[in-house]
Amino acid sequence: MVTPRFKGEAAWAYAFIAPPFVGFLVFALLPMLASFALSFTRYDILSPPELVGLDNYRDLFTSDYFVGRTLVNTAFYMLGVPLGMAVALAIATLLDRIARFRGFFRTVYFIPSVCSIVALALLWKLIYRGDYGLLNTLLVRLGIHDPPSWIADPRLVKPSLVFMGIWTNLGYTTVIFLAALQSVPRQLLEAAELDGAGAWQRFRHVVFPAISPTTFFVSVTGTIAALQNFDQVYVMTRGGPAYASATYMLYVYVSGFQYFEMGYASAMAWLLAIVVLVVTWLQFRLAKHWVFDD
Amino acid sequence: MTERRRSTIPAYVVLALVALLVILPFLFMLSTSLKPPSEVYEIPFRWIPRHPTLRNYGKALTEVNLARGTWNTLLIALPATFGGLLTASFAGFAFAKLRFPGRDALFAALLATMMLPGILMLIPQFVMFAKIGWVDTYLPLIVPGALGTAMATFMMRQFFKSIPDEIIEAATLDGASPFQTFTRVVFPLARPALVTLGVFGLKAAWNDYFGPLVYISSPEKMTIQQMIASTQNAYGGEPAVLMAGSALAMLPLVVLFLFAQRYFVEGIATTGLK
Amino acid sequence: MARVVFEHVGKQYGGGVPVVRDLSLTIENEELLVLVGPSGCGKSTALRMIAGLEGITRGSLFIDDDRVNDTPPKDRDVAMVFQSYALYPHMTCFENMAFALQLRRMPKSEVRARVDAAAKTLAIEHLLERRPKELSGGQRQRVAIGRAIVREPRVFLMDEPLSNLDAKLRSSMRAEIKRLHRELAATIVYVTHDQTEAMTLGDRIAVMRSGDLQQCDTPAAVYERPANAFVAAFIGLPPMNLVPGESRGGIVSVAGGQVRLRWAALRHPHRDGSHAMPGAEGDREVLVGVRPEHLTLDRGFEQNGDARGVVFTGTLELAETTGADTFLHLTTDAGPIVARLSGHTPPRPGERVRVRADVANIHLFDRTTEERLL
Repeated sequence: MVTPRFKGEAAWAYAFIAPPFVGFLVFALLPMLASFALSFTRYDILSPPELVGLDNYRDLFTSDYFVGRTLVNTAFYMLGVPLGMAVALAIATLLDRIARFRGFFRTVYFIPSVCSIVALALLWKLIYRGDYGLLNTLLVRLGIHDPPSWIADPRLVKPSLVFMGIWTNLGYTTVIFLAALQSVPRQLLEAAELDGAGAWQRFRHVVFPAISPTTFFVSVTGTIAALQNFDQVYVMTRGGPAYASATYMLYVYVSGFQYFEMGYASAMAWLLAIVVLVVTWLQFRLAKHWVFDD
Repeated sequence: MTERRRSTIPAYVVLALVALLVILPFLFMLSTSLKPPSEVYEIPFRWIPRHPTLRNYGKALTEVNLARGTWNTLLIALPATFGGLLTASFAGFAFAKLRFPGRDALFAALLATMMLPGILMLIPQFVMFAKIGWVDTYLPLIVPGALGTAMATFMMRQFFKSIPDEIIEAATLDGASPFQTFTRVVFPLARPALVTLGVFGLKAAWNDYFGPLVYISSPEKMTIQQMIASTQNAYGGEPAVLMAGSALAMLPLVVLFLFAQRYFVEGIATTGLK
Repeated sequence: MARVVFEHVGKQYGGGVPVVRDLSLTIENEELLVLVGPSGCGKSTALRMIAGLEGITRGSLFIDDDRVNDTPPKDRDVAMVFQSYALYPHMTCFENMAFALQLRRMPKSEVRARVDAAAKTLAIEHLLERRPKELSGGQRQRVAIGRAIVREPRVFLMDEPLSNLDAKLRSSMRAEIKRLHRELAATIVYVTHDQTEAMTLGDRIAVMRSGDLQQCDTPAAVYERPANAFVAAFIGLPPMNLVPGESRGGIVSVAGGQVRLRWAALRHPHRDGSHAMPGAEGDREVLVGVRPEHLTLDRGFEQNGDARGVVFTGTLELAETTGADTFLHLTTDAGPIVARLSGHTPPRPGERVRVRADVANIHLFDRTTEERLL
């Protein structure tokens, strides 16, 4: 028996937690169940859903060329996660070493992270323009004639977008790594130095294990975000040219909200959700080998 | 000491170069946005316009109607953020400091929803909002957030956990009800956490593009992000107006960031908020 | 002010080990009762039961004549001083002290008067507009006590209120609490793990272990007539020496010596009130207890074990001098023994040393039940 410290403590508590739970039930749990049900139907909102069994899933895996195509593209964007982390960790390491202007640099690096993807996408679209874009006018000035037209080139569009993505998230990731680096106990590093460890050995055997939980967190959340990449591609290229940059999320959006194939889009959503869960699960499995959490 | 100082010079050089790489696109944006149409396509690119003008900003605010877009966005961002802060605080307090049957199980359920990919809810939510006539209103963008998201609740709970139980017990013995304990003791203490969460909430709501894209279709109801995205079509030939619009869309958050930088950095560094 | 009565009170979580087991205890009106024991003994739980912060599984708890088992804390009219002070960080000291009164919708002028009066008693008038983080530990403790005083509650509860203070401040605050107790004529229940604090503060002290009350009596009585071996070892610093021995036919023997007890004489109370418990003279295994200060150096080498007392012979391991006293740590056949001598020039470590205790100063406990025999 628990004697309440307040009169009606439990009743107060239930009232306090009611709003998020109503939200959870109405906006998460029910939709999720509905999504599962919808994925077995053909449904355009206007006419009632029509049960089609596993048709949606069969199409997804066999006849729909775009599913594979956009998943491969999405996988390409995921390359930006480790690349961005490596760059951010390098910059954070430098920031951790310097004595002055640390706050200034951190502020500058972080600015893109507070800007909307839409505005940044418009900006970078202009930078990447083939004719009078900033990048190419600079390249021409450096003596490179006939530079490529970056995001209009099916071969270069994805790397270009990945680069922009790294540029965008650099500050955010750097701030996280810097905080982690600053919490590595100095005595530990000094002890390693006295033991004769060089700079790289200190990083490899002291710093990296110490910040591994942070690295793991950044990689998991970054991967989940990359798998659902949408805004950047939608604003900059609409998936073009020739679907070269289209992400899976973009395809879900098009199926659901442009063609109103709600049943099919639901099945697509489930496929992506399962991919997200599997990738996350894999990361957790692998984490046992390199993350030192205590 | 001297050796150490010498060894940091390359670090400063690299960091300065990276800073330049970060800043350059913004300078390009600013420069372009101040140029009259005749100068925009000049090659080579001139960083300082010969005849700077604010005409592009005027156009963005009036013709593109970003003033309206800003207002619309605030209509969504403010209630969603502040409503969410309030509900998440109450719920976070209950989970952190009150005792009631089923507390841990309910909290675990709430945490589990954080793991669910948002994409699963997307389609049925749209269908549901369509059925109740909420499409092309701001309600789908306000209500779920204002009820307190799992993330916000979780954050507030973590914060309230850090308040010693004894403070709550002291309030109990002083005769405060749970509601009074919350309003008079706990909530005032939560200010740093609330500011942090509020800043990130405002940022997320202001920058949200996908939500309005799905739910808002009337041009006069569009948010600022939708409006600048749609300038691409109407003003594709006027990059200067596009850049002015983008700059206007960024400005409030950059200002907010510069003033509330501490909260951004702490929020990210301690909890990985985004 | 009021009386607090525990009647067979028990508390356990789920099917777990009871935190408090069948506690019966009366705290008299205007008494300062100290609950003392090692951590986890249930003393804080007992205190928090009075406050209403912990539920009661069995039995009844009364404040005066009200059974308060199910009364929420705010209706019990008790005030508590916490170990961490638990001041509201965002309020000034005045607001901290006034908070409870404001919640009771007391008129502003009366709030002001009460807080000022309490502040005066505690000499913290100049701190009223400051926030807790601007205060030293001792000042915070005063404010925390002030917050309790202004309420004029029926009972004050104090949960290790001094343990976050440094040693010097602790002893002056101890005196301060003693003074307040007198001035306010308050009923105070005071929890501590520190036996010195318990001895110096309490009108009576209640020693607890593993959820059970071991003994509740005046400090002197608990010290001189500990109810069992646990209390004997817990109260007193350094603790009482307890060595295993045997009691057979009136002879108590320990390794290396023995002493003859005249049970017939011991059945009658000694002048300090000590006497043999009924049935104590039966043969059994015992623990022989001697307080360090009751041991004296024995220079002579007469035969072990005579009517005058018990003798321990051992090697001196260590002699610690505190100035006034010297503590000798001996290794004897009976086990380690500590003796406290005043003003002696100690023997050197490694020497053989004999110490003796008078028969009047010997405590005897049953080795299996640990209950006091003598």
